Amino acid sequence: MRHARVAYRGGVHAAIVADDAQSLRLDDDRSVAVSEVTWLPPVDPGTIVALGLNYADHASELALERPAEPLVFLKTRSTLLGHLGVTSRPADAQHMHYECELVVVMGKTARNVPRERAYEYVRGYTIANDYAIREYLENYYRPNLRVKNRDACTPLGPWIVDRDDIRDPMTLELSTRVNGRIVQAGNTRDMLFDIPALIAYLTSFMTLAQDDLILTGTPRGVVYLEHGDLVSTEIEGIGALVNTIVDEPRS
Amino acid sequence: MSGTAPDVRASGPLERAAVYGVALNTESAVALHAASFTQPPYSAPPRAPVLYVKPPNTFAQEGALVEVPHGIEALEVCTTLGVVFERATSQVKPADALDYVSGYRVVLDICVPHAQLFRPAVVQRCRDGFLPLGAWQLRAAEHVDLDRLKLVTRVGAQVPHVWSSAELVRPVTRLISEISQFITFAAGDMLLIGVPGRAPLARAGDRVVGGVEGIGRVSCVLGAQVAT
Repeated sequence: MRHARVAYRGGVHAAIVADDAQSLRLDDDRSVAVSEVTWLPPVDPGTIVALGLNYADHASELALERPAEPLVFLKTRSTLLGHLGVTSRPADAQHMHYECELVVVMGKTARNVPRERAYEYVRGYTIANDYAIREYLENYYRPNLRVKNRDACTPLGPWIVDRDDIRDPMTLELSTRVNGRIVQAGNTRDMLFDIPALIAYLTSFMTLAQDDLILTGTPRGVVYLEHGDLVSTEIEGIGALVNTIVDEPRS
Repeated sequence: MSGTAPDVRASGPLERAAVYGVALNTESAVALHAASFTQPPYSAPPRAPVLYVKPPNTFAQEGALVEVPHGIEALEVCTTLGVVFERATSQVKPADALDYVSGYRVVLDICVPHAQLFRPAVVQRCRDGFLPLGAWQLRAAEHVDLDRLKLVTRVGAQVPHVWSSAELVRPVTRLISEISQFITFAAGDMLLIGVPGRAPLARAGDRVVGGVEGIGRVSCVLGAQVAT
């Protein structure tokens, strides 16, 4: 099943997405068209872990070395945004790009999880667009929060697909379209550290809780964005997460 | 208002809050690293506040037992101030910043010592229990002089370590203003103001007590990591 969180007529609801993705069944059993709702991030996580340079081709694209251990950084809820949201590009940013990422949603408390049991702790999967603004990169705790944890700069969704509805999360096609044109394509099989490795690594030193997120990194393909661009990050078997870029009004 | 009892309230374990810390926000911390700022991999001194996140697994209650990981001799444990937000705080001016603050909480910010600041220090800073939190929060009030706080860390029987918020590179109001230009603090979120350059070291068996004059205290006990 696909699980969403939406606002409808002023109320916030959990919802199940219909097979044709044209309607939703709300938690009060009403059925509504997808055009009638505002999409919210499908989960409210405590901890958001993200991976840098977790695809070899993206690392070489940025002229950076493959990391010997996972390059982990953290994000906070302030940066999350739902499907069909709008993200601001700051007035001084010419080098803002998308990053399509498979997201693991944790299903229960996880500590010291061995790799062979990792999937037992997974609730499901969703998509993130982990926008970055390269002008703000600095070499201290890089990638720094000003690049990666800006308000409304991490679209998430549209929904969570149950773990068992994805046969193999390590062979999924990922792609990003900007205004309909494919600008990024890859496959989760090219991750340097796969999902079981990431869960084993992270839980070796920190406890993850239900609904915590792991953003597993992005493959090659960076194009800088402009005002009005429609950005669709897509993952096979999950869906398409759509976001619009607008220039921040000068204050 | 001398003689008035501090206006405090019990605080829960901050389950859903976002907690942000700031590295290199004291003159002594900058002095320790300044010679390397123009060398690789840094190339240039930091421009924006150097932020890190302390996620919910790091939150520990007053008196908690904190594990020293295998293979690590000592942890850096230092008293700092947690500034707690009362409401959504976005793009505020320094002069208005304290209008958004509900109060202050004494915390011990713990990490595995690390000289390298190039990559996010998640393994070093975000282990379970690495942020013991004072049992209460002091409600924001005018009699707290945030620029002259005396912050004390007592490790076992060692000579107490003392530092002053007078050495902050960015004072609290400026920190809030600059960070809130791109991150909205939510009600209940917390900002840690920084720690000095040579933070106290503590080992398994040490009891650590942190205190900030006029605000409160917090303690924890370090123990060897239990085998798993």
